[in-house]
Amino acid sequence: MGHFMIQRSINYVINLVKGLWSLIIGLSITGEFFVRRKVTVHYPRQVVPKEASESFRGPIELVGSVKDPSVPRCISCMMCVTACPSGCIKVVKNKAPKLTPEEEARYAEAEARGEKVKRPSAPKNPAVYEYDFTYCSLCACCIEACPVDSIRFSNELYLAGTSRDDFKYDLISRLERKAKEDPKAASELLPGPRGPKKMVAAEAAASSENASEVSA
Amino acid sequence: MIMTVLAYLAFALYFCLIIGGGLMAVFCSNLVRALVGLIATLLGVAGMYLLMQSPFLAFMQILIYVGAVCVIIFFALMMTAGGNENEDGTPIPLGKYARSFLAAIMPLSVLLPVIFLHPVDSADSPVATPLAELGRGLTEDFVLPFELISIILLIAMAGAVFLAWERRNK
Amino acid sequence: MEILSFWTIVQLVLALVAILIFISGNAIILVWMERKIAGYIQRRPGPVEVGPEGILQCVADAVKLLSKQILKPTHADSLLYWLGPILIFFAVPLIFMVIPFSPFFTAYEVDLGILLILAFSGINVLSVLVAGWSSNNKYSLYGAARSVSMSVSFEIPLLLAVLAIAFQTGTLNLSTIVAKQGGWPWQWNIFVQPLAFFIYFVCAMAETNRAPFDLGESESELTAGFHTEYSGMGFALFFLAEYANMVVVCCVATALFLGGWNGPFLDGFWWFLAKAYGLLIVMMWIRWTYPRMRFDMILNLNWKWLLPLGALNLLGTAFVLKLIETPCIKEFLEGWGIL
Repeated sequence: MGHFMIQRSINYVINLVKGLWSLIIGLSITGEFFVRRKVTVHYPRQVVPKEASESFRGPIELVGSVKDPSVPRCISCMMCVTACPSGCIKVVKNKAPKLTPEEEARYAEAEARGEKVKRPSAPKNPAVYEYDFTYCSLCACCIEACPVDSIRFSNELYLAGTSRDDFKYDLISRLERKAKEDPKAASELLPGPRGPKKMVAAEAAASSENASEVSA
Repeated sequence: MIMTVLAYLAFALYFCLIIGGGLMAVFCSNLVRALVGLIATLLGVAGMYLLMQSPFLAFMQILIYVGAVCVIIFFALMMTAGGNENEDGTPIPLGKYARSFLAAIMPLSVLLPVIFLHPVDSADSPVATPLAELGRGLTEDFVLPFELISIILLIAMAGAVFLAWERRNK
Repeated sequence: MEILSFWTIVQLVLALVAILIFISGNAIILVWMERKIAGYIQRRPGPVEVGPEGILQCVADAVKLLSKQILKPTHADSLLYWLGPILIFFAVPLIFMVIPFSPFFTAYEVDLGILLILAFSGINVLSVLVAGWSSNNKYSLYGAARSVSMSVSFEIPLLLAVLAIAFQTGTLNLSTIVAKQGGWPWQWNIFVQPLAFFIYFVCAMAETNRAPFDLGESESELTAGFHTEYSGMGFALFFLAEYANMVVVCCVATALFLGGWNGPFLDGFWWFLAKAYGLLIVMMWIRWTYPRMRFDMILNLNWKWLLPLGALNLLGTAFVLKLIETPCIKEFLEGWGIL
């Protein structure tokens, strides 16, 4: 019994000394941080380097097609509009080109001759692609729904505006602007470290099986 | 000359503090306000000690009575259920008034005869007693009363612990 | 207290004005320091926009506080509600009066300097209670109750630590205590009484409601503790008093333990201020290092460790003092040149 008591009191003292020592360790850690380089990026004067912003998932943007980066891959299938829970995407399909009277007459003539006539169909890419970021919850449903990988998250970190309308984007003109600046980046499937979208879909399908093998 | 005037002014201030605080302590229905009145009185008494050239007593008065005793009373008041006894508006029975008056008279009935039967010559201008002399008095000449007081405090403390113990066991 | 002369009064008034300026100027510098230290410890720059390195940020904040509306909760006790912030501030200038910044730079020499400081710093506790109770808010009440039960208990080891110094030097006059110490660190009282200094410093942090003992205003649990309901100047006074009290405890520690105005060369108030500010920086460093302690842990620390240690330290001091007064030992020590 006495032996046990001695053991306990020795342990108590040891713990006490350890505790006091841990206080000093704590102070030394904060002291070290005090003199180390500061990591804050002071926004108006500095911005985060591009590599750091690559993993940021900002407002969505359209991806240009490989042939012509200024034209989106979008096929106006409306899947994104359907998938969006906030209803912040608005897509208007392109109409078939209006035929001149002569062309119309030629087609009618050919039809009358009994030929199989194929009038020009509407281009698949959308006429209007509007995106209201004020309602967007960045849930990525549209990105997952898109069958042709035409939507991706942008890396835009610094968003500021003076009115609500500043966050209603016309994504087609935005893509055109981007394609002019850097055609390759505009048509890149998914920039940054996220990996190809198809892989994301595969990952979603087989998430339970081999999540570790899918590289990020 | 100017010092005398200032001393009188200080005396008047302390006097008002003591009397006003005392009245507040007696007549406030709110217990916490009454306690604030008590604190004012104690501060006034500390000021009087200062005028009587005994800063040691004055500081002790503030340190112990204002800083500790009143805080403890305040604490106790805060933890107990608020509201005064007379909330339902029933008239307080006369006997209660009589008993409170009796309780108020009690200390006076002890102190007054002592003051009148054994008056102490008051000095024209008070003389400060050095702290060392005070300490020597407490540990040599008046060692018995001093120790008796500490025994009383010890008993009070033991009683408090005992009461708390009972409560906890229930 | 000697009879006051007319010139003493003039001196007192001047000192009071100087002290008030000192307190408010200090508060601004200290708040800035605190925010800078907090930032640097968290690897961010702290305030940088207003003025060079953000030093004017606190001035801007003060202006904001001044211009804010002063509100009182509906069922608050209006007399006590306003008494709280006034009471907490009224003792502070008085305490500064007796702090010996330098031999010629003490506002008012009192033989009972330490006692005065201890007596008037007890009023803080009272004002915290008054403020917390009268706010008619449960958070305020909880904050006040916690902070007061802590302050009342930490006052005891603090007194014991100070008493050890008073035993050793045989006086309660701060200037005399400082004058008895030398310029070099091994001539300071901290060298003789390290335990007393440790106890004093821990208790001082508790008395000023600083983290890790900031139970009175534990933001994460009690919004702002006892001053939850105060806005504008009411809050500003509490804020000012907190920093003023920090300066007070650090000044007292400097005078009692760190040799006050004595320095290795060129004695003067700059040494005093440098030491006091060093202690303040340590206090801030500690605040931004340790998490807030739990209530029962704090009281355990006080009653089970600091109080017995303080009492033992006091007994030990008394024993050693008696021992070296014994003739034969005194002779022996004098022979070796220690005394």
